Amino acid sequence: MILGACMFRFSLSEIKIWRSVVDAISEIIDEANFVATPEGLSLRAMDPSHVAMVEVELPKSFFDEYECEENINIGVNLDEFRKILRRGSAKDKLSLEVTSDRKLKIIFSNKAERSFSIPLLDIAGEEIASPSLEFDVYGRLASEVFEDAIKDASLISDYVKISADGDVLKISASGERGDVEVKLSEASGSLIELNVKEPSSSTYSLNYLEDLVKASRASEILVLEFSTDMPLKLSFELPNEGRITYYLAPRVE
Amino acid sequence: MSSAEKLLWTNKYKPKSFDEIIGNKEAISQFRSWIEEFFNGTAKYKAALLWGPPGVGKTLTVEVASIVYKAELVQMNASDNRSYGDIERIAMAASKHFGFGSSRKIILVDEIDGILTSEDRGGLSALIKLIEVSKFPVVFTANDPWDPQFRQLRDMCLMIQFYGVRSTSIVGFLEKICRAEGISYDKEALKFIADRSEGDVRSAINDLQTCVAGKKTLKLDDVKWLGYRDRVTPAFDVLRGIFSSISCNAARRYTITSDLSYDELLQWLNENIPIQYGNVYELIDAYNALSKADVYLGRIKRSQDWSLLSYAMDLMTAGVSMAKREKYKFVKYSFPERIRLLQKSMSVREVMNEIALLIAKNCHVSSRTALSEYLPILKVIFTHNVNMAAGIASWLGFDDRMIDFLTNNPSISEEIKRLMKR
Repeated sequence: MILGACMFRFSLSEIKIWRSVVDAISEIIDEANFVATPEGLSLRAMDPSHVAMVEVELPKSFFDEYECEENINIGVNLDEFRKILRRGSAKDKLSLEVTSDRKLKIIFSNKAERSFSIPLLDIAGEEIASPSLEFDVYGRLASEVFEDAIKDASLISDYVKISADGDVLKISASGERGDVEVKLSEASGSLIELNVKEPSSSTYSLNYLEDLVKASRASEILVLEFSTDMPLKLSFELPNEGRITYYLAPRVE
Repeated sequence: MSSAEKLLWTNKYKPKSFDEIIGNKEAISQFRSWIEEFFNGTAKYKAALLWGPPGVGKTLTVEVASIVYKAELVQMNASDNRSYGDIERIAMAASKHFGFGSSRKIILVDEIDGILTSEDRGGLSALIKLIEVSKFPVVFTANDPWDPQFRQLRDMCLMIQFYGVRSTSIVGFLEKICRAEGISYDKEALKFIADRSEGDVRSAINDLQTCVAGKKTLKLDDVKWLGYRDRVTPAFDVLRGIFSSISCNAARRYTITSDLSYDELLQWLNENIPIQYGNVYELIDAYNALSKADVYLGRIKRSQDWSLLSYAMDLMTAGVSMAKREKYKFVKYSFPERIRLLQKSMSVREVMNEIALLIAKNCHVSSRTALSEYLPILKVIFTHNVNMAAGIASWLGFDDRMIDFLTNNPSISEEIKRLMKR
């Protein structure tokens, strides 16, 4: 193999969407290990406290161009990575390349071609299995609506109760500072879809949720799933079959 | 685990069940019954502190427990930052949430001895808070948890001691690795590695891997170049080492490997000589050596001539050790009362010194005079004449703490504080 030869490469004309993916991951972890396969790019990571988990799936179709012949791990420090990505402007086309001498090349091309080259990291971390969970509640809503509800709750408390019964999804919090309740339903137009197999209710920490809803910048629609005392699953759909999924563990009462 | 770490034999041959762990059977069964009690809701302690020398299986026991009891393991290592904020963000957050797969969880904070030396002093109080708030079992490991600052933490934990693993057991484990790797070995070489590890299984495995270095054979000559390594030894082991040595050199060696300062060592020996030595002639000789060491330490303090320290150390170690006339016997050592008392009375001494400084400044005397001559009189005034006391207190600018100390009686203190407000 030629030293410095390209082993993996993708390009995206919309730099904004890639930036929001990286931002979404960086809410959970400091160092990311992407796995590139011929089918696409993915990542699964857990925050150090094992309370939140993120899963990113970007199939080949998500990218404008995508070349990968064998599986390869792409480990990066997200802080550094984000700083470099911020140097790209909206008109730039973004390309990422991994070369055989274990360097990651980040290329912005517009009129000029600017390229950064950073060493890949060999990231320590156990392999995490995707949790196989069945949920009693399934809801689809505008991510903006959910973000507002979370912001409301965080004025009052450190944790929020999410419950669903019949055709109403309720997001509520109470504490020394008072009480807050946000009621969402298909009838009122605040939910696109709600399916409740069994009335459910669970409590989650707001300092994680506040970070996670920031990913709503990447997607307008959010799918929310949960069951009583089970993790909360938030999926954000990206264009061209890309997806970001978060899992958040429930609080012990 | 990074790809480099996967290649380490300590990871490759890491036990996955309790039976595979060599040594420390008693400690492991003690830990198992505690954690079973915890999951049944009958445990007396919310936390356990596994302590003992490095590389004997403390962390491993917890890791295996997480496999055997199907509990999620949330771990904070010595290499992580462990300020109050970090412990709150990781360990405390984990202790308040269920896991993803399993409803059980174990929270492990490794090598807590390091927390005292870190720059952020909040680490220790974060650990205490962690035990209080956690809904899951909390486990700490430490080499030496006997620093007085750990006292409160120790009282909250089930203390489980781990010992160095016997050399023959280590040889057996090394043989197993060699067979699995297809290495033909000289048993003497394995024995050399095991003896040299002084009960530290991890370092023995690492040494084996270093010495083999990709070859398929291991001879005694391949391992001879390994020297003896210095390791940090907890206070109890230093004492045991000094008392059991049969040569001056061996006794002296123990101070090189310990973190104890010379004056701490003096206190430890002072307290434990009568526990170790029963024979009156042994006592005479040991205390004779120790008192001479003390004389040297006094001279060092006055003259700042630190070259004398080696004489003091020799007297403390070799001198005390050579006092023995009977065979070494195993006894339980105790924590020096003097260090304990000083720790306890620290806040009182602080208040006294602050009062003395105020008197010294306002009355133009030395603070020593203030302590010895003014303070006793102030105490009498403060307990008998509240008006005069209030006057003095406002003149010298005493705070509530100082008034409470001088009166030693809450109702009189209140009266004085009330008068001062007028």
